[in-house]
This record gives sequence, structure tokens and C-alpha cells, in this order.
Amino acid sequence: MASNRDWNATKFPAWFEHNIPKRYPLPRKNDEDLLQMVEDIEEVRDLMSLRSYYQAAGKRQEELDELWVSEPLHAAKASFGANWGYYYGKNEIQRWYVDEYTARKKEQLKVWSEKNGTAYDEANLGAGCMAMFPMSTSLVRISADGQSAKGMWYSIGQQTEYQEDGTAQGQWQYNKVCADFIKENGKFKIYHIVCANDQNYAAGTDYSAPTYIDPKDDMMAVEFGTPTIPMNVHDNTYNWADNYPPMPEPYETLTPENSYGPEGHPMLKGGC
Amino acid sequence: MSSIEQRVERFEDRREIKNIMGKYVTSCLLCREDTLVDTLFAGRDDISVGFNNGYYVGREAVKGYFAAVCEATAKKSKVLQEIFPDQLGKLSDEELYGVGPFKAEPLNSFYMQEAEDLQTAKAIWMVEGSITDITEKGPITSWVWSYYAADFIKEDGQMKLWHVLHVEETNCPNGTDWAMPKNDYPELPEFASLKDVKLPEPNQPADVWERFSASRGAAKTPRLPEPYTTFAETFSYGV
Repeated sequence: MASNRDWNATKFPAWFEHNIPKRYPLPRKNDEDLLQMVEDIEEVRDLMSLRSYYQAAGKRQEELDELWVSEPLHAAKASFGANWGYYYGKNEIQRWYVDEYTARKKEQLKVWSEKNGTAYDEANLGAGCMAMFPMSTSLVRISADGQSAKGMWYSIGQQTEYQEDGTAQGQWQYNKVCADFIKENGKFKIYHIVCANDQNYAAGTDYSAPTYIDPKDDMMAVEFGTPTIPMNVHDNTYNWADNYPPMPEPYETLTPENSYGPEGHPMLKGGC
Repeated sequence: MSSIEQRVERFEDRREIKNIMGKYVTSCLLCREDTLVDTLFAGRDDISVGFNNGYYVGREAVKGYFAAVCEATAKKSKVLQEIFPDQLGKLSDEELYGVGPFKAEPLNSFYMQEAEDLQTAKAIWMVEGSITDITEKGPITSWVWSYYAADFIKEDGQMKLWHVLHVEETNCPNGTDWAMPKNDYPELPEFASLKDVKLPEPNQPADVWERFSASRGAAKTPRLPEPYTTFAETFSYGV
């Protein structure tokens, strides 16, 4: 049946209005500035693609060293967020994203070496595991001052982990990935990232069935460990879409409040 | 520091490379692999396509491989016509061609490097593919996680494919865990004639890429493109 509702007069909730594309003037005027903006957008896309290959190869230390900010003021405020909170500061990110991960991989490698009858060799770190997070649907904004960028991607990815019984277990992960980038020595670096998981489930199972996963049974929640700022960053309970992190909008300059860091989260804005 | 003209050329090359590989996977989706060499590859003879089990090297071998893929598609469509006479019985061979196989390979995580001399480029993609094949066990759809990587070379000012590498991490029926792949479907008598449908072996067989298994060693990706000046100083995605 056709609706009699006057859609033009209908006031939509703020989260919906937020998603209506607006017309913005291009932030710069001359050809060289426009070309620079085009190159900047491609540089940011390359950066996030490169990150996905580093993830696939288990090169987390290289990712942090080469692709993330390193200037002390930036490093102190860098953050890695997921549904369950933020790791804040590069030292904290290192602790969880690299050190805890590497320790887990070493434990897995001990079991893998025993099961496969080979000597323990850290050249095999990541054996029996696989991770692929293809980055698609990119939406990138360069700030009007040209010094920072914001981007959003969607990734239908998978993580496969070696198990103690000598098998491996695959897991689908549907992630919305948003990030802030800032220039250091003329090159964009990752400053804040939020990997918001919408859905995850074991490969070979029916993904329409488990609409609620208790965090204690959620491999991703368990793996996220104890973040610096534990909080509900993105709620995927019952596939609930809470529009965080939101699409990047055109902006003048990067501030804590408009960032994908914890300072920019609606629950903490200005109060972190 | 590059001139504005060089920077624009670099951007146009980048766009062209994305478009070429978009056309490549779309042609595969449409079962038109037989058009790839003439439309997207360079005119030279040293082109190649590589897979997990080796390389087809040289124009004749590459064309022969793609022709065999299309010949197999025609046979698969024909079998389906026999099984579904009401739906497909009246179609001519040309109309029937392509019924059955379905190869969805969305290209993601695009990353490339173009040579300083702007004459060649290298790029890589990550793919979460879903491939339906018609086999002696009937139609089977599989999750195919894979990487595409390619070298490009300029001909008459346009980027063209030179070497393509497509390696699969997994190839397992949907609904199963790729970490414990199994294909327990029984052979079906109405599809039995497809048992003999085989593609030619690569003319340069090699263990290019080991698919994932719990016993496989360290995780890796194909070598990523690195900055370079001329192709002579970098590696090839061909042999």
C-alpha cells in the first residue's frame, strides 16, 4: 500500500540526517592544490591497503613502526579502538596490538611445532593461522588545511586461528574501519583507528542464527584484552546499528573533538 | 620533484590500472576469458598468468589456457541444458554459453607502485571471492580467498597487463570452515560427463603458493610492490 506520509516535511532523527550527503565547496582553489588533494586521497588509501597486507602477514610491529605516527605529541594521543574500548597512546597500543599478540603467536607456535614434529623456529610465527581483511568502500576526506585526513572503509574479513588440538578455526568478521591520519614529514600516518565489528561468527556456521553473543564467548572481545579505556564504543548486540564511528564529513582541521580518538566519541566528547 | 604533467600522468596510470583489473575480473564473471589477451594484455610475447601450481608463459600458452576455460564453460552449460530442458532446451549454443559457472571476485586493498620512468607498474589486490563451478558433483559454490598481483607495461602510452599472478589461500565449499576444508558431496550421474573436463597444465609448473592448512608454516602475502626506477631493478610477478 502506498504511504500518504509527506516525506519532505518529515523530520528524521539526527543519526539519519547525519547520513544525508550534503553539497560542500571544494576546500582549495588552484590546480596544484586540487592535484595535491587527489594525491593525498590516494596516499591514504594506499596506507590502509598496506596495513591490510601487514595484518595478513602478521607484521604488526612493522605496521606500528612504519605506518603509524611517531612524533611524541602524536604518539602520546594515538589510539586503537574497537567495540569494547580504546588503547590510548602508542605504548599501550604496542602492549596489546604487538606484544600480547606476539606472545599468543609464540604459544601457538610451540603447539604447532610439537604437532608437526618440527623444531620451534620463530621464522614460523603465525603458522597454522591466517588473516585477511580486504579493504573496500573507501570514503576519504582531506582537511581544508591539508595536514590531516579522515577515512572510512568496510571490510568483510576473516581470521583463522591455530587450535590446541592441531586444527584451525576460521571466523568471519564484518568490520567498519574508520581512521584519522596526520602528516609527519610530509607523509600521512595513522593517528587514530576504530575497528567497529558489526558481526562475527565461526566459518561454516549459519550467520543469521546467533544474534547475541555473550562477550565472554566472543573471540574478538576476548582477544581485545584490557584496553586503556574500557567502554562501549560500538554496540553490535542484536546487530544494532549505532552509527559509530560515523562517516567522515568535510572539515577544516583535526581536533580531538572531531577525531576518531576517544575524545571524539559521543560518550566522552571533550571529557577524556 | 615531478612536474604537474608527470603527477597527472601518474594519477591517470593509476586509474587505468584499476580499470584494467576491474575489466579482467568482470570478464571472468561473464565467462569471457577468451577476450582477455586481445583486449587487456600487452601485444608482446612474454606475457604470463600464474596460479598456485605454476605459470602459463607466452602468448600462445596464455591464450590456450583461457580458451580451455571457455571450452569447459561451454561443456558445463551443455550439461545443464540436458538436465533442465524446459528452462534451457530452446537456447542456441551461443545463448546457452555461460549458464552455470559464476565467478565473483571483488577486488579490494588496491596497492601499487609505478616506476619512476612511468613505463611500468606493479599492483596487488586482496579478494574475498565466491566461485560457483559445475562439477561431476553438481554445482558447488566455494569461498575463494585469494590475491591478485600484476605487472603492467605501457604500450602506445597506455598501461597493459604483462604478468598476472592469482594465488588462492582457500578454496572450500560454502558452509564449511576453510580451516578444515572438505567436499563430501557425492558424484551425480547426470553430471558424470564433467569428470573428464580438465584444464591444461601450466607450461611452467611450479609450487607457486601453498593453500592454507593448519599445518602450513608462517603466514605471508605475495611480495608487495616496492618503489623502483625501472623494471630491471625490481622483481616480476611472472616467472
